[in-house]
Amino acid sequence: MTEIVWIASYPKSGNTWLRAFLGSLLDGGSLGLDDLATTVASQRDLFDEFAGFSSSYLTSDEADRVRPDIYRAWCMSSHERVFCKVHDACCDAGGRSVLPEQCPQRAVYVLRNPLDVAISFAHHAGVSLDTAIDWMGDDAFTLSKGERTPSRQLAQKLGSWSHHVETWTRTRRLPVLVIRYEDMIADAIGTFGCVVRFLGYEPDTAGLARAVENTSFGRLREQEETRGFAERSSRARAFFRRGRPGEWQDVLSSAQVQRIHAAHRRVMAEFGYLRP
Amino acid sequence: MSHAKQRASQVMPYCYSVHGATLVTEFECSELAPSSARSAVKPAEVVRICEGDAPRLADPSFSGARCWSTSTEFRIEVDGVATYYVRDAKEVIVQRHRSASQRDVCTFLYDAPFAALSLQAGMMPLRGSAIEVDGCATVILGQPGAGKSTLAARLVRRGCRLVGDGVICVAQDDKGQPVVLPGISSLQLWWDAIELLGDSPALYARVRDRLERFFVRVSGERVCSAPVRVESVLLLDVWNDTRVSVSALRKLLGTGRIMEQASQFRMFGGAADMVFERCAALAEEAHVLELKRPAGGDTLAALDPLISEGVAR
Repeated sequence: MTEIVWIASYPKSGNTWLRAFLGSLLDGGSLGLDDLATTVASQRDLFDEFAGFSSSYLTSDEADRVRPDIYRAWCMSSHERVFCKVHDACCDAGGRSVLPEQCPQRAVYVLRNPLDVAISFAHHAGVSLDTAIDWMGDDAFTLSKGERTPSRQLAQKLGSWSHHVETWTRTRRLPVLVIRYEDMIADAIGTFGCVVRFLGYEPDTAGLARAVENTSFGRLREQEETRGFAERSSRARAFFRRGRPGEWQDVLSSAQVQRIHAAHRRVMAEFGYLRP
Repeated sequence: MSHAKQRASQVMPYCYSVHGATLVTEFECSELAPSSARSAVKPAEVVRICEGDAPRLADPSFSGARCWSTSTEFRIEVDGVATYYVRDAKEVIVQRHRSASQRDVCTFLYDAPFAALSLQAGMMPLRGSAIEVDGCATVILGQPGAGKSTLAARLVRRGCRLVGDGVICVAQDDKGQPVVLPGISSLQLWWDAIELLGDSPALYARVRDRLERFFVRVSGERVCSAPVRVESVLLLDVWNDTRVSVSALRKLLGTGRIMEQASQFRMFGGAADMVFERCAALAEEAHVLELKRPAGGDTLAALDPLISEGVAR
C-alpha cells in the first residue's frame, strides 16, 4: 500500500498552483499545467473503476459512504505515492469523512483570505459576489450537486468556509501541513520549500527555484491564454485571473466585507486575516 | 453441484434476450426484451439469473472497493441493494438486501453484472449508447454527464434505431468485424434531458427510487434487435469553450481513447489482452471521432446536423 497525499483547499485558494508546482518539481522542471501530477478526488472515473458500478446510479450520500473505500483500494493498487486534489471538507458536522481509515496519508492544506476567495469564487462560478459570499457561509454548501442533470464530478460537501478550514486544520485523522496562499505569493521559495520537506523530499535549491519559476502565477496565466486549461469553468473567462492578495479592498463593498467578517471572524483571526 | 443446477428445478418464469445471450430469470426485468427462443436454445447456452447466497471469491486477481474478480468469477456488492455473483457467463446469483426495491436490484444488475457476463463470454462491454441507421452502428462513448444517452435520444427521434444504452456490448462477427449486440431497449435519461426533449419525466419509471433519472422505453421500429456492424465511434466530451469541435482520430490515438473508456471495467481480471484487441479492432475498422461540446444540455442540439451527416456517411 502506498501513501495518498491530499492537496486540500476550499475552491479558488491556490490548490491548482500548488499542484502545478509539485508536478513541475517531480517531473524535473516541466511547465506546470501540462502535468499537474494529481488525480482529482471527485473524478467519477476513479470511483467507477474501483467500485465496479457506475457512480451515476448513486445518490450523493450513498457515494460518500463508498468513497473512503475507493481511495483505500486505489492506494492499495498503486506502486508509488499518489497525489489527489480534494475540495471536500475533511469531515462533515457529524464527523463523517470521505477520507479512508487505516491508510497511509497526509495532506497539504492551502488557505486563503476569504475576502479574496469570494471574488475568485464568484468569477469562477459565474455568480454575483453576494451569492459567492452566501455559499461561503452556508453550512450545507455542496459542489457539483446536480440532481436533475448529471454532474460530471461527484458531489463534494464543503460546508461553510470556516467549517472547511477548521475540519482540515484541526483534524487528527492525518498529518496536515497548513500553508497560506498569501505566503506562497510573498515567499514562494520558503513556502514551497516547507511543502517539499513535509513530503519528505530533499529540497534541491536549484530544482526548487526552477519549479517555482516555471509555475509562477504569471507563467500559468500565460499558458492558459495560449493553450487553454481544462479546469476553467465554462462560466469563467479565465482560471488564472489576477491572483493578487488584497484585491478585496478594491472590489468588495463595506457591507460585503462586514458579512464575511461576521460569518468567519474567529477563523479569520486565527489565521491572521483580521487586522488588530 | 453448481448453484444453477441447484436452482434448475425451481421456477424460472421469465426469459429475455440481451447482449446476444438468452437469460432465464427468477424475477421480472421489465427493461429487457422478452425472448421467445427459450425452447430453441440448449439449456447449457442459457444464462440463469436467480436469487441466493452470493459466494465469496477464494483468490481474486482483482480486489476493488466493492468488487472482486478472477478470470471466471465476479462478485460485486452494492450497499443497501444487493450482492451479485457472476460465473462463467452462465449464471448470476443475486443476494438482495432486505430493504431493496425490485427496481434498484434490476438497475444494478444491468450494469456491472451484465458487463461481467459479456466479458466472461469473450465480448467487450462499454458504458455508452449505440444507435443504428442503414445497417451501420454508431457507438457513443464518454464520461458520465457527457450527454451520451441524451444524444442517442435525439438521434432516435430523427429516425435512427436504438441498439442499446447503459452497458453496450461489442463482439466480432464471423468476418472479424466489430459488431454491437442489442442491449437494453430503454434510454436512461435525467429529468432535465427529458424536459429538453419536450417530454415529461412523469411518464416514465425511475431508474432508482431516489434518483431523478428515468428509463425511457424505446419500442417497435425504433429498436434494433440484431447485431450491427460498428461504422463509427463518437467520443463525446464537454469542454469549457463555446464552440463545437469535431476531429477524426488516427488509429493509434483512437485505440487509446477507446481503451480509456474500456478501463472502467478493468476490475475484470485476465481480460486486458482481449479488451485491447477489441479496442484496436474498433479503431481499425470504424471511424473514431472526438466531439467536444460546450457545457449545458441544450447545446447537444448543435451536434445534430454534424452527427446525422457523420452517421449517413
